[in-house]
Parts: sequence; C-alpha cells; structure tokens
Amino acid sequence: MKPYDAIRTRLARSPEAGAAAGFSVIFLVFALATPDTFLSHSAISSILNSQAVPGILAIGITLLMISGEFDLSVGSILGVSSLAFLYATVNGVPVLLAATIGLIVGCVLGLINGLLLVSTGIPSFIITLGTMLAYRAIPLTAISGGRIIRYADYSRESPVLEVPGLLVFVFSLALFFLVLWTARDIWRARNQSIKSKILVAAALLFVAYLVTGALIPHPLMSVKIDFFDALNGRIGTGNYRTSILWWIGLTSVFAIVLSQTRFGNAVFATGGNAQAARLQGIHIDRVRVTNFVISGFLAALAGIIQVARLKSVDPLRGTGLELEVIAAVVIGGTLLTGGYGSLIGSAIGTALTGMLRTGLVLMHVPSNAFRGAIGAIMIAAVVINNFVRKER
Amino acid sequence: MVLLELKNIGRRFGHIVALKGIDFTLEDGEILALLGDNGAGKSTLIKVITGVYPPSEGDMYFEDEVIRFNSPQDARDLGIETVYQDLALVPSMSIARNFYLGRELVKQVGPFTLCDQAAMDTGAASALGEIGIHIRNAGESVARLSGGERQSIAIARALHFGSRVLILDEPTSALSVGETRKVLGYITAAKEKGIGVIFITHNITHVFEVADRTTILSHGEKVGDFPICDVTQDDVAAMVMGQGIPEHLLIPCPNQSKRQ
Repeated sequence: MKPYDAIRTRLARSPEAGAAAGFSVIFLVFALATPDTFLSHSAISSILNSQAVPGILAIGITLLMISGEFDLSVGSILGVSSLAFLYATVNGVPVLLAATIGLIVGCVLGLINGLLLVSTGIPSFIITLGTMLAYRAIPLTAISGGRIIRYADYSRESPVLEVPGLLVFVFSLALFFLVLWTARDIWRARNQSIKSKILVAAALLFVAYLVTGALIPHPLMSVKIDFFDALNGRIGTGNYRTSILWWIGLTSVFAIVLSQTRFGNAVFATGGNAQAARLQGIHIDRVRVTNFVISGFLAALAGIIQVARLKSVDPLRGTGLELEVIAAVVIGGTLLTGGYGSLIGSAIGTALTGMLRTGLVLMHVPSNAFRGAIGAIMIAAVVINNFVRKER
Repeated sequence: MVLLELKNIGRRFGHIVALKGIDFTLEDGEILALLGDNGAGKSTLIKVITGVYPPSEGDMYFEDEVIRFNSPQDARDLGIETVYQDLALVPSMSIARNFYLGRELVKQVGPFTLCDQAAMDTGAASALGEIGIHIRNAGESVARLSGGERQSIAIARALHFGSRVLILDEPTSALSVGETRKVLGYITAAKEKGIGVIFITHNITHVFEVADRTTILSHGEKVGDFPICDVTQDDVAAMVMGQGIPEHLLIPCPNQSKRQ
C-alpha cells in the first residue's frame, strides 16, 4: 500500500479525522492572520463559551443522525424548556425543582417527536419541521407581545442551592467508591495499555484529592452552591465558563455510551441498516424514541445552562440554532444518511463554526459573511468525507 | 429425527389464499431445497416458520412439541435462524460488530456494562476460522467485503449462535461462481453439524449439488416432496413451472425412503 493510500484509509476509519484536519488548517490561518487577537484568552474563551450550548445540542443531533433520524425541533424545545425553567423559578419554585420541570418538558417534547415518528412512519425531517413550528408557538403565545422575562425583575440574588452536610458526605463517599470500583475493573482488565492505567491512577488521585478537600476541613457542613454559577459561571477569575465543562463532560459520557455500550451499537445498526438490525432482535423503534428523548433532554439542559448566563428568556430563544448545529455535526463527519459518525467529530465541528465566527470578526470580515463561510465549509466537508469514505 | 413439522398449514390475507394445506417436514442434518416460481408461496411459508406471520390454520411442531410463535424472536429462541440475501448485515459496521449484533459480549467496569470489543474481535475471527473463513481484520467494515464474503459471515453467525434450523433465502443469487462454491460449502458444513437447512433458490443446478430433498410449491399448494436421487433436473423444472408431477414419478418408487 502506498503511504498516501495508507493515510487515506486511516482517515476514513475515524469520522472525526476530516473535521480535525479542517479545524487545524482554519486555526492556523487565523493564528497567522491575526496572531495577537486570535491567540488571546479572550478570543478562545469567547469561542468556547458561545459554543457550549450548540455543542450540547449537537450531542443529541449526532445520536439521532447516526440512527438515521433528524431533529429540527431542538431550537424550539430549548426555547420552551428555558421558559418553563425560568417561569417556575421566578414564581418561587425551588430552583432544583424548576430545573427538573424544564428537563421533563424537554423529554416530553422529544418523546412526542419519537412517538409521532414510530406511529406514523412519516420521515423525521417532516415531523420535526412540524413540531419545530408547533413548539415555537408555546413561548410566542405564553410571552405576549415579544416581552422578555428577566430574572432580575423578580429577584436581586441568584438562586442558591443549599446542600445538607450529610448529603455532601454521602455523595462524596459514593463518588469515591464508584471511582475506586471502576478503576479496579479497568486495572484488572486484560491487555490494557500503560496509558490507560496511568489515566486510571490519575483519576483516582484526583478524586482522592477532591474528597479529602471537601470532607476533611468541613466535616458534615452544608454547602451553598450558586445555581447559575454552577451551570454557567466563570471558572475562577478567568473568562472561561463552567458551561464548557458541561459540554466536554456530556460529550465524553455520550461518546462512551455510543462507542462502548450495547445501546450505542444498536444506534449505529439502526441507522446503518434498520431491517438487518431488526432481524437481529434490535428494537429499532425503541432506539429511535430513546434518541429523540435524549435529544429533547439535552436541548432542555442546554437551554437551562444558557438561562444561567443570560438570566432571561425571550419568545424567540433558540430560533435558528438547529441549522447551525446540524451544519456543525455534518462538518464533524456524521453522515446524514445514518450509520456513521462521531461525537468527538461533532464537538470539533461545533468548535470550528465558533472559531470561524470569531476569527472572521477579528479579521474585520463583515459578520454576515460568516454564514457563507459555514455553508461553503459544510459542503466541502461532505465532499471530502464522501471521498475518504470510499476507502473505509 | 424430525426437527420441524408443519401440518395442513394455511395462510390467507383477506380473500387471497397464499398457502393452502401445506404439510412440511425438516429433519436434522438435512438440506431441503424449497422451490417454486415467483408467487408460489415460498416466502409466505418461510415467514410462517420464522414467526413473522401466524398461520391462519394448521399446526406446527418443533421436536414433536406444538409451537405457536408470537414474534420472530420466539423462532430465534428455538434456534431457527434466517439468512436474508441483502438484509443480513449492516455495511457501515465492522465484521465483529455485525457478528455479535444484538448479542454483544460485555464486561463489567465498575457499575457499568460495556461491550468487550477485544473479545468480540477475537471471537468473531475464530468462529469464522472454524468454518474456513479467514478474515484479515475483524475490525474491518463490512462495506469493503464482497457479496460472497458477506453471505459467508451471515451464515457463520447463524451457525455460531447454535442454530438448529438454518433458512437461507436465495443465498447465491447475487454471487460469482467462486463465491457460490464457497457458500454451498458452508451449507454442507452446516448439514454436517446436524443442522436442518432450508434452502430457497431459483438455481436448480445448486439444488442437485447439495440438497437431499426438495419440496416444491405452486400457487400456494404443495406439488410434492421428492428425494433428489429420484428426480431429474427436468422433472423439477417442470414442476416448478406448474406443469404438475411428471408421469414416471407417479409410479411408486422402491427407494422412496430418504437418502442418507
């Protein structure tokens, strides 16, 4: 095999390789064109902060797209859930309960999408186009006259979550044993690389550090958490926000679910060849409905995380987000036809679109040209992916 | 030993009679060719056996016990596996993932149940090796394999997961001559493991190469059951085309018993 072919085969095996290459090239271009501004903490943090919300949405869209489905309604679900969360909070519902209500609303709207799909057999593109419009009507009618609901109009202080000391203690202990248990199994597993063993050791040390830090100085003391800061506050004194950690954490968890679990396998099979999957005993309808619920849940979570920073909801919250996210997922190497894709690729694709937006502004390109650039890059990504995929 | 027995099976779809009064048996270690023209009722009969359609009338027995399937899963649980020509594998997934699809090998990592990819890769490679299929890499995508290789993997999978009855729906219709040879070889290998094989095909030559017996359907009714040693290719072709049983076969034949 010629080296060129070998590289092509390698690239074709990992869906995210194309996005990673594209990301590197665009990063280099911006870094060379505007080194002082682009390589600053303020630019990088602004890119990551703005992409955390679309990045979380991209997880659900990717799962759905790999299973052969499509969700245009995530922007509307995000809007409805944000409204439900903030409306409950400003009306005196405890903040954790309000967040739970918001998440349940997201799950239910996703469930409606999924049940409509499996009961009617209409393509999900049409169904979610319909629910995108229908769900949008909820905030449009509930918030009359284009008003904006602002948290500041109701309360001056951020909602605070007070966790009893005993709960903190039990939770830390449980977490500690969970990590210990998992680490033991990974350590014992056959043919594990040194790299993964070092990772396990590092994770263990980190948790031991957290637990000793949390427990020993203040045994059984209650902890006060600023709810908005936990979801989307500044990390330390820098410009980076906790929403980035939620994005990375959720992407990691779902990446493991997708690549390492039986459910993940079923998602790939359902999108790759639904009939073959069904004949092997996979409940393809259950997989599809589950993915719609996950997508609705993540849209709600992203909405709540966004509210935690903006502290307001307007009736058009989330409009147009779905197309940007779908573009990012496609740039990330996931096939629109299903059966092939990667969550890491989607995260890179989301970061790439954010980088493009900020980078073009820094290069003094009119901001409206951004859409053109995204469109061109998406088409280029599909062409390149189709080319390497032949060698898969 | 009789594995599968159908008595007086009928199946109607509204006013249309798809199957009528079908008696059917399959023994272990037997290759039965199920023949018939398009629309003769082969597919409907297979779907009754695999639990896709419940029969409108008649009884089914598996190892002398009455069976009633509510879903294809019930048939699979008894070890009735079907290999469909195009529907067997997911092209975008690897050989190993296809092999264990729906029956993944798992490992416990703390409280989490994860797929044991390494065990599936070696398991699939060795199971395929057992029936003489040597693959380069179990992690390779099925999309890169030829039609014959895909068919072989689907058959190997059915054999590996303890199937008692293997149903092959036109397994050779899209294959080259060399690949067909191999697939026919795997069918013989399945017979040697004591599995009852139902083999649907339009290619009468293949029937005479591997089958022990043939059941011929025409317009939803059974024309007859014939040991392959008692009939010629022309007889079979005539019956498949709906010309009835040739006269010389109506005379009782001394070696009517099944060929061993």
